[in-house]
Amino acid sequence: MSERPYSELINSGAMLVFVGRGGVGKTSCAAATALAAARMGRRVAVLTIDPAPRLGEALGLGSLEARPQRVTLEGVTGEGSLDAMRLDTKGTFDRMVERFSPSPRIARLLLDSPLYQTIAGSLGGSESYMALQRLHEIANEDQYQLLVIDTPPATHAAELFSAPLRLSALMDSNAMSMLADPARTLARTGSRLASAGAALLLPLLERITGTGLREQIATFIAGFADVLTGITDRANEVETLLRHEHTAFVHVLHPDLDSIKAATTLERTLAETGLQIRHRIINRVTAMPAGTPAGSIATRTADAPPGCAEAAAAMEAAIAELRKTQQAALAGLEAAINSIAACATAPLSLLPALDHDIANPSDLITLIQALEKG
Amino acid sequence: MAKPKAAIFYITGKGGVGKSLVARALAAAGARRGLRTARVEFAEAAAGTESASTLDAGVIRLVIDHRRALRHLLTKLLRFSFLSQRLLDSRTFSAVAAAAPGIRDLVYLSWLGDLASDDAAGFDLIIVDGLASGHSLPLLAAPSRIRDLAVVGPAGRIAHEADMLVRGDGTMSVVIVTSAEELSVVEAFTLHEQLGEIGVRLTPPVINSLYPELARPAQERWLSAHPEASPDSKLYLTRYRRQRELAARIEKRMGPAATLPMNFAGGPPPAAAANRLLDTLLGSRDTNRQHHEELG
Repeated sequence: MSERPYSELINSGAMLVFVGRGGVGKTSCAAATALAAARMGRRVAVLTIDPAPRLGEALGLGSLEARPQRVTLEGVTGEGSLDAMRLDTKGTFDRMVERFSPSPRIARLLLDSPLYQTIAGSLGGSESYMALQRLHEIANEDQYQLLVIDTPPATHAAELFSAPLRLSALMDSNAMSMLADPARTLARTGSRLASAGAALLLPLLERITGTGLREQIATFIAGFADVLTGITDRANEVETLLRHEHTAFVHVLHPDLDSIKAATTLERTLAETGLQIRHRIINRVTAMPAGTPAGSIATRTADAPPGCAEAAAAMEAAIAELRKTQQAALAGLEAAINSIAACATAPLSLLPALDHDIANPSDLITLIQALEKG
Repeated sequence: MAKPKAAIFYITGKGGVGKSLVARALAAAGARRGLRTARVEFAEAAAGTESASTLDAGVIRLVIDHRRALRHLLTKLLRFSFLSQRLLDSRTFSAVAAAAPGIRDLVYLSWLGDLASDDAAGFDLIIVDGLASGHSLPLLAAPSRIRDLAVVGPAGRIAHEADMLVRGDGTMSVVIVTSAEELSVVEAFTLHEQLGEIGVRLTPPVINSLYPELARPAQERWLSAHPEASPDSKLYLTRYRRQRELAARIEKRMGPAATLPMNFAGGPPPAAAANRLLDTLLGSRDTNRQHHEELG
């Protein structure tokens, strides 16, 4: 095992994908990692999903935008560079419509259609689909040596990979014609009772989909079917990229029992999909203090106002308990992960809990230094 | 006389604030005081991490998935379950029902409303371990969107019932849980505003994982000024102060908040705190309903 596995990872890979449930700090870790790789001399891009407003400031940008912005690397010589951006789900979807529509006219019709507006917003997990699409776009530009990808906060990481499958289900041409002409489609099922049942929901379907304007809808369906085919094909291409040997998955988690359980489930799911975690980052660890004070609390608070000794004892006990819980969680993680053979050997990095949210460049440097230690 | 409807509390908040633990603790509190209690989870969000534990004793755990909720709705509409099964067997129908915006949400809300009214099930309290805030907004906003479309017939009735559930008769209230951390607070504010605009019933927000006050001001001052005496006290106090600042901002923006103490040993909030929280939530519901009745 190398002395500095993380540095090795970010120096050698072509794509790093950060996975983990919501709230663990994936986005910050992805940004810090991308910055570290750039400082090492690589040409890097980072795609963030839902970045905190201050992350842009921490990178020295006003805010993270959909378009890539070049990050200024302070005090670093060499060839490295970092372009940072955030995912614009709607914008990416619009671009897909324009790209895959049979003609510009149809693209315009689709983009202006209220049905499209609703679908683009709520196509279950559209964030996942569009993250894949955007990833494809960036990879295709062939400008970068390393892509660092943040992912939507999925409880089930497999969501990212099932996106193409779910799109295919929708692409079932029956479903499309159902939207276009529900009455006729149902009549064709040959079941009067089924038709009667479905007919009860039809007023709702018709109102939502606006099937009153039959011709316009028929055009919409035809155009949108092409778009969905394009998106699905591309999602399949991206899945190939994700399975490439130079793609590594980094799992970010918290050191508490609940997180560990969820994390184990996620890794098992990924392992079943044939993917393995190459590195784990335990974020928000309450570290030991830099210097352990000598002497009893009574001695240390001898000059303090009354009650300080008791207060200090209570607070020290609380923090000690917190550390103990975190240690137990980490031990539990080790045990659980060893049962998932494919992932057992992935190294671990511990990142300290910061006193405040990431707001300026030095915060990211602190993370990078912690990452580079292990 | 029909049994009164169950009280539904829909728990939501940014991912990672501890929604599920709060939901479990609240449900356990309900069961402890003799309320027939259900805890509902959405299959798509259920982490699959739960093991049976004493926390769940006396609580009926229900995991709802879209297919099951849809079957329930169709059965209600068609009155014979074998018919609804045939419809469900049509991949076409299922795919459309799952994809058509708003329908999926109505299906869930309809199922929840029926659960609260189900005399046979006989629940007094239903705690919903809801989706994270980003996903909860479309769910809770769906009835209003559909209402604007003026749908008629049985489907319209279902939409109306869902609307009443979320905004009307006080059966259901939404509990926004946040931690005293910048990102969750910002998301809580946004959700609070958006749900307020729709007219969704909200309980006081819940600030989770608060460090308890363990030092009086004079002690706090000295210990902060002398970190070498007790570095961990300084660490504790730094976090405590930051949390309190955020808590003050939360209350300023969202009104009085309920709080839950940090459990340093990991796991759910202590039973006593969960009991207090349940009192607060039930109390706020009664106030809301009184208000609703007064308005007629």
